[in-house]
Amino acid sequence: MEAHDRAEPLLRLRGVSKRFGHTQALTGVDLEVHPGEVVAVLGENGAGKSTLMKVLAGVHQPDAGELTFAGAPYAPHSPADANERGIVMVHQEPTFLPHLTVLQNLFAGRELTGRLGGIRWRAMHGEAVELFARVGLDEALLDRRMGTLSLGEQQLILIARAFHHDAKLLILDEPTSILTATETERLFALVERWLQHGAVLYITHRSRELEQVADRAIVLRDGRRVGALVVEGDIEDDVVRLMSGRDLEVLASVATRSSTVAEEDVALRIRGLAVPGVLDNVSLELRRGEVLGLYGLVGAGRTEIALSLLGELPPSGGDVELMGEPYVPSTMAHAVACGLAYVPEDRKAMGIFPYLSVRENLSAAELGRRSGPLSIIDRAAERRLAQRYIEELGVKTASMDDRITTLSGGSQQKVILARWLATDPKVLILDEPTRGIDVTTKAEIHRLIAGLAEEGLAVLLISSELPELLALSDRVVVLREGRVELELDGDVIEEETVLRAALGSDLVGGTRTASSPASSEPAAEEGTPDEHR
Amino acid sequence: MTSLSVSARPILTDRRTMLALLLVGMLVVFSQISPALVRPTLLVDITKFGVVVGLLALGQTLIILSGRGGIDLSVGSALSLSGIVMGLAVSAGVPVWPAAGIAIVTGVLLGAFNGFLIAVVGIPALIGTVGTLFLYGSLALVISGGRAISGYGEAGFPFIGQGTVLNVPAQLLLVLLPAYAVVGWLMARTRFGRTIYEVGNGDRAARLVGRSPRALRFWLFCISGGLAGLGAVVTNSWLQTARPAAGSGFELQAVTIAVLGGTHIFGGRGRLSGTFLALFVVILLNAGLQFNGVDQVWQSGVLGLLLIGSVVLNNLLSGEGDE
Amino acid sequence: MVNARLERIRRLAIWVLLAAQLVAFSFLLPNFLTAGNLGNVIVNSAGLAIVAAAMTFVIILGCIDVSVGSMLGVLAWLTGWLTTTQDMPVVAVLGIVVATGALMGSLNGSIVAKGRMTAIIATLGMLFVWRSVLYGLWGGRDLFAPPLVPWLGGMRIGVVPVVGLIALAVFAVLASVAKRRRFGRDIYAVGNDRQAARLNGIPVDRRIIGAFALLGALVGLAAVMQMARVGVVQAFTGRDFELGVIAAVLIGGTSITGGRGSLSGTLGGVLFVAVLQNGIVLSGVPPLWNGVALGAFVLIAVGSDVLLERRSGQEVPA
Repeated sequence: MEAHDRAEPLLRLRGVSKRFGHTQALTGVDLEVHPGEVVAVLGENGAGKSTLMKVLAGVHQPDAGELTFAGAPYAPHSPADANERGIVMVHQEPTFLPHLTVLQNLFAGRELTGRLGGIRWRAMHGEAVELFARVGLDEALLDRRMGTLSLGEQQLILIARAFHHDAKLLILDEPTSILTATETERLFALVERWLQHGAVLYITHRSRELEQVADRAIVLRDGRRVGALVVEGDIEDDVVRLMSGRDLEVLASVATRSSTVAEEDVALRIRGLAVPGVLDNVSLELRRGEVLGLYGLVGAGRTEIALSLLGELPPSGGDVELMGEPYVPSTMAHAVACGLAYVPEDRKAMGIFPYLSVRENLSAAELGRRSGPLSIIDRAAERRLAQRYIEELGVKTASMDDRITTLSGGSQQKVILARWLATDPKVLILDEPTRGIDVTTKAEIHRLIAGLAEEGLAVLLISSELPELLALSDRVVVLREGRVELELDGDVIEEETVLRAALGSDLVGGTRTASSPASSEPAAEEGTPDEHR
Repeated sequence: MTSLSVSARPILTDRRTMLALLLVGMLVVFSQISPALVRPTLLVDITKFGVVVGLLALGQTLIILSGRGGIDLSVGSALSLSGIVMGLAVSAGVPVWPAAGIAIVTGVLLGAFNGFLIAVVGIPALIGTVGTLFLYGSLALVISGGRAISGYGEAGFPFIGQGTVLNVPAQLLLVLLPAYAVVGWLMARTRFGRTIYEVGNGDRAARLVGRSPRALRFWLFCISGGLAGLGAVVTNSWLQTARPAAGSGFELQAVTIAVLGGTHIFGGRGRLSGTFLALFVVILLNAGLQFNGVDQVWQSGVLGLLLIGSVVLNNLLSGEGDE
Repeated sequence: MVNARLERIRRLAIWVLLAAQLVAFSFLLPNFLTAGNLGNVIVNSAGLAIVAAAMTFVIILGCIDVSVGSMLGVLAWLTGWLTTTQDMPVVAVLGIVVATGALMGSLNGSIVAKGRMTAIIATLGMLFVWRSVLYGLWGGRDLFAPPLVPWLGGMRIGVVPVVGLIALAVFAVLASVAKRRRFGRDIYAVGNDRQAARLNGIPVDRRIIGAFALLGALVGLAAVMQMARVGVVQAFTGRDFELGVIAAVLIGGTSITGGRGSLSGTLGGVLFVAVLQNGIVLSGVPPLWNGVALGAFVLIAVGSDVLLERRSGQEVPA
C-alpha cells in the first residue's frame, strides 16, 4: 500500500471523513507520514486538501476516521492543542502579532521565565540568535516588527518558530504561492533542515514543485484519495491524470466551441495603463464575443488591472476606451453605468451580502445602475428579474427569499454572476470564477462563459487554473511583475509557453521554479455554506 | 411557491415574535401587580415617555445596521446641546418655530461632525462618539452656564409636547409615528434602505456594486443628529424648558432599544419594526417600575442589565460573538 | 523603517506636548509654577494616574472600560461605610475595598470574555448598573467619613505628596509586568490578534478577565484615596471620572485598536490631563470647560493616530 511500510509512521490516518452542510469535503481518506520524509498532498482547488490539513491542525474535527500521531491516538480540539502535541501548520495567510517584534512573536505564549516569574529577555534573545543561525535566518530580523516584514519573511519566521517549539510535523499550505524565487529557495533549504528531526506535509497544486521537495505524494479529488505515487523521475503526466480526472473531459467539450471573433469590434482597449508600484504600461485589447485570458503569478497585477478599471485603484496614467468611447475610471458606480461588470475573486468578502436574500443579492448591481439613491424599488420587477436568472442559470434555492448563505458555494457564485449579467454589461471581468466550487457547477459555469462570449459579450477571464484558462480563452495575455509579458493567440497556446512567460525567462532553465501560479484556496471549502462571524 | 417558503420562515425565532410575547407577558404581570396601570387610556398616555428616546433609537438602528462597529453614543448630548441652542435662540428673540428649525439644523450639524470624524477621518465610531458625547454634553453646560432656559409659551408650540389628539399624545401621533413611517418606508422601498443593508453586510462587496459606504455613514450620522435635534424640540415643547442635561443617559436607552429589537451590533441584520416593538417594551417596563415606586436611577440600572442581556442573548442565539 | 520612525514620533509626542503645556502655563499663570500648586496637581490626580495605569492594559487588550467612574463611586461609598459604621482598621478597609473592586472588574471582564460582547457596550451597561447601585446605597443622604488616613490623602514628605509616590510605584510595578511578566506579554499578544494569541496557547479569556480585575482593584485603591482626601460620597461621586482616565491613556499614545501602548506614555498622558485641568482652574475658566477640552483632546489623539496609521499603511508595502 504505502511506500513506507517498514517503520512505525509518525502520522497515520484511516478513513477520515468530513462533511460541511450539503458538501462532503472528505471521504475516507488514508494517509501515512514517516519521520524524515516530505509527503505532498496534491489536488485541484476544492479537492479537499485544505480541509484535510485543517483536520490535522485542529481547526476542524473529523466526522469519522482514526488518527494516530507519534504512536498515540490523535484528536486535537483546537489549533493550540495541535501545536502542543507537535503538529504546526503554516497557513497561506499567516497569523501573527503584527505590532510586536519577531523575537516577541517567536516566544509569544511560551516566554522563558526565571525562578520568580520574570521574563528573561537576554536568554530568549540568545536562544533566538542560535535558532536563526541554525535555520539560516538573519538575526537582525529579531528586532523588527512582524507587521513590517514581507509575506515571505513572515512565513519563514513562522517555520522557524515551529522549529523552536520542537514540533514533529510541519504542514505547509501552498507556501511558495506568495514567495519570490529567492525566498522559495530559502524555504526549501529550511525544509531540508527540518527533515533532520521531523516530517513535512506539503500542500500544493503545482506538480512540478514536487520534484524539488517531495518524496511521495497523494492526490485528492472531490474529497477522496484517488492515488499515491513515489516522486521519481518525470511524474508529471501521472499527476495531471490523477488530479484532473473527469474535469478535463468537461473542459474539452468547451474547448471545441467555434470561435466567432469579429476583428473590428473592440469592446475594451487599454493603452499604457499604470499604477505606481503595481502596473506598468499595460496595454491590451478585448473584442466583443471574445474570451481574453489573463494569466500571471500572484502579484503580477491581474486583479489590479480589474480594480484600476473599476476606479478602486486609481491609475496614474494610460487611456481606456470602452466600446469606442473614452472611459475614465472614477467610481464603481460610474463603471457599472458604463457597462463594466466585475465578479470578484473573494466571493465571501467581496461578493455576497451574507445576511441578505438571494433576490436582494441578485438585484444589487442592477438596482444602482440608473436610479438615484432615493429612488423607489420596483419590487415586482425585482422579483421577475430574480426569477428569470434563477431559472436561467439553474440556481439551486428553495426560494428567492432565502438567505444566500443557505446556498452551496457554486449556487452563490451563480447568483453573483447573475447580479452582473442583469446589468447587461458590455465587458464582463471574471476573477477566478470557479475557485472553490464543486465540479458540476464548475462545468456549468464554463459552459455559461462560453455561451456568453458566443452571444457577443466581451469576457476578461482571470484564472490561476491553467487548463481552465486555456480551454476557455480565445487569446491569453501573460502578466509578469505588472507588465504584459506575452500575448498568445489561437489554437496553439501551450501550457509550457504561458508558464515560462509568467515565471520570466531567466528562470526557464531549471525545473525547480517552474511552477504554476498561486491560487489561494478560500477559507471555506467548496460548497460549504459560509459560516460567518 | 415562493410565498410558501416565506411563510415557512422560522417565525418563532424571529426577534419580533419574542418581543410581542414579552409585551403581552408584561401586560399580564402588571395587570396583576398594578391593575391601575393597565388601562387603555393610561397605556396610551405613557407612550409619550418613549417618544424622544424612540427618535434616538431610530437613528441608532440605522447607524448600527450600517455595520463596521457603527454606533452613535453622542445622541443624548446632541439632544441636550440642540435644545440649549434653541433655548438661547428663543431668549435672543427668535420666534419659537424658527428656533425649533435651528435646533434641528444644529442636530444635523452635530451629526455631520460625527460623520466627519468617523466616515472621513476614520476614527472608530465607538470612541469617536464617546468623545463627542462628552464634548457636546460639556458644551451644552458651558454655553448655558449650567442653567435651564425656559419660556416658549407662544404660537401653540406647547401643543407638540403636551397636547393630545383624540386622547393620543400629539408627540406620538405627530412626531414619532410619522418619523417611523417615513424611515420604515425608506428602508423597505428605496435604494437608500437597501444600501444600508448592503453596506452593513460588507463594505467591500457594497463598494463593488457601486455603493459608497463613506457617504452613507456620513448621512446616517447626520440623520441621527437631526433626529436628536427633533427630540430636543419635543423635549423643549413638553417641559417648556431647555435643560443642559436633558438628554443625558438617552444614548444608553437608544442603544438598548435598537439591540433589544434585534439589530445585530455588527450590522447588516435587523428590522425597524423590531426597534419599534422594543421601544414599547422599554416604555412599559419603565412605566411599570415607576408605577411601583422604583426611582428613575434604578430604571437606568435595569436598562443597563437589559442591554447586556439582550446583546448576550443575540450572541447566544446566533452562535457568534462580537470579537 | 518608516514604521520605526513613526513609533518614535508617537512615543515622543506626548512629552513634547507636556513640555509645551508646562512652558505655556508657567508664563501665562503666575500661580502655576509653585511647589504648593504642583503638589496639589499630584494629590488631585494620583487616583486618575493609578486607574489610568491599569486602563492602559485594558486598552492594549483592545478593550475599554467606561464604568470606572461609577465603580469609583460605589467603592468610595463602601470605604466610607466601612470606616464610619464598621469601625475597621485602615488596612482591612483597604483590603476589602480593593478586593471588591477586583470582583467588580472581573464581572466586567467576564461579560466581555465569556459573553463575547464588545467591551464598550458591556461596560456602558455596567456604568448605569453601578450608578444605580450607588444611588441605592446613597439613599438620599450624603455619606461623610472622617479623614481616614492622611498618608492616603494630602500628606507630604517634604514637598512630595505620599500619594504621588504610591502612583509612581504602581506605574513602576505595572511597567515591569508589561515588560517582564507573562501576564503583560500576553496582554499585548491578545491585543495584537486574539486569534493568533489563542493559536499560541495564550489563555485569552483569563487574560481579559485578569486585566479587568486588575483595573477594578486599582479603582478600589483610588476610591480609598479619594475618600481620604475628600471625605464625602454623593450620588454623583465619580461621574465623568472615566473620561479623564481614557483621555490620559489615549493621549499617552496607546492605540485604541489595541496591541500597542506603554505605561510611560500613559504617565505622560496623566500629567498632561492633570496639568490641563489645573490650568483651567487657575486661569479662572469655568470648570465646565474641562469636559470640552478633554473630549476634544481624545478626538485629536485618536484622530491623529488613525491618520498616521493610514499614511504609514500606504507607505509601507505589505
